[in-house]
Amino acid sequence: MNKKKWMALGIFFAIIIGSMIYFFRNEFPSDFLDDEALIKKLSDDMQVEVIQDKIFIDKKYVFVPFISKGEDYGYSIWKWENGKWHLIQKAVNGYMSLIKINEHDPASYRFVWNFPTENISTIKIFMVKDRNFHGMQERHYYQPRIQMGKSFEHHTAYGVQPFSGEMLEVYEEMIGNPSFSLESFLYPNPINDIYFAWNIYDENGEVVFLYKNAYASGGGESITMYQLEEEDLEFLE
Amino acid sequence: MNMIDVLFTLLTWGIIGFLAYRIYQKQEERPRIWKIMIVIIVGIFSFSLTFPFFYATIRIALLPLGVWILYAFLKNKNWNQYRKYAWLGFLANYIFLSSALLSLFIYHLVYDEASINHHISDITEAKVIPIHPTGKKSVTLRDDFINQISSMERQVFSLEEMLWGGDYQKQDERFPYLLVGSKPRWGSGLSAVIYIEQDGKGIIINTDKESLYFRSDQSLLKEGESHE
Repeated sequence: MNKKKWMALGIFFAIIIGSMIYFFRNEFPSDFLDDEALIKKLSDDMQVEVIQDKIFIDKKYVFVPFISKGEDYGYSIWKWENGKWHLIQKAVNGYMSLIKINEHDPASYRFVWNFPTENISTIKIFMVKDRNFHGMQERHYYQPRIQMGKSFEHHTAYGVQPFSGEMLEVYEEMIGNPSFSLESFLYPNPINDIYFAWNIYDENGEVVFLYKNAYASGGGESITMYQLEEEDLEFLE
Repeated sequence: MNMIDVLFTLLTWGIIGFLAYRIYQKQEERPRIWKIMIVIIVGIFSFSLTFPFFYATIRIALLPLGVWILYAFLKNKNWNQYRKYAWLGFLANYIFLSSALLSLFIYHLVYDEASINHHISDITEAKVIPIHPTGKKSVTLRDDFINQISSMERQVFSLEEMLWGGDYQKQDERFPYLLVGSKPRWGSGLSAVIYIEQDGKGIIINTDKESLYFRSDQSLLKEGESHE
């Protein structure tokens, strides 16, 4: 009986200590990787030459913009998980990402990018939801088109911007209320049809194309955004 | 939150509790209370059919699976002590059903899903945001907005002229403003996305079922005095 009690107590403490270690490993990330380690991990299909910066977006998320030997501008996103820094996304030439630090709190979302500085003077982010109409007998449904934009001056190559302002307010209003669906299986997640895109402009306001081999890998809590075709916009200001 | 639903759910559990208490009082050999609770909850478990009913679903319990399971476990023990509680659990299905129907009925006496005032009842924290380049940035809600919408009339929503006029995704947006932060009538649990028309005189309320369209003679918006 006594032995059993000691065993139970031992197991109890082992579980407590185990979960405490797990908690601390997850909640208190160790020092982030140094440049050398980063270059090594990022150089698989291209030779990364310069690590431009290491920006902690959150204590568990780091944004690392880099430049390759061939002057390709790219960035990587790292996340602390299970006691290690994991590369969750890498994108080169012509991407922006939306990082969802806390999926349920849009105010925690961050836009990140890294573009060459020469010839690009403005960056624009767009939030779009397409127009939609359904009519069934007496009932009608009309979804107005949402098209909002926000621009940033492009001084330094890379940047991090919070999802904020009116775009955020509209987004929160949209997800706070259930959306119409013909059949729930046809439109499983109403918020999914809001999408984010970007574009870059030179000092004359002309769209700039990078004309370089663009690619991105990874995903999950970090969503890649595409360059928006001008012709997909209604009435650019 | 839909207060009528909450109230009726509480009422239903109250009735079940009361009936259980009546059985308990009449018993000479009384089981433990936590055992009674488990027996009632297992008793609810049943094979049932669901039907759509005015945008709600109703469940009609047919086979008392929970009662059978309990019987299988307790027939050689003290089934007689628990029998009534198990059947009370099964009966609870019908109490829930009638409560749901009654609550639906009463909900529609108290709240009107087609009323603009029930969807927009409190605008103390509300504001209007342009969501499309067609909308003006400097627009705000008029001070008598709430009074104005009371006199708005529901209209048939026709989009024919918009749909057949050229490129569907390439035009002025007819509803370029979003009303953010307005609250529906207290306790109604109503939830919708509300857009305002370009001329400021129309509102569409997008519920999860349809768009309700209302028109007014005057604009609900004023220009200038933007607080930025």
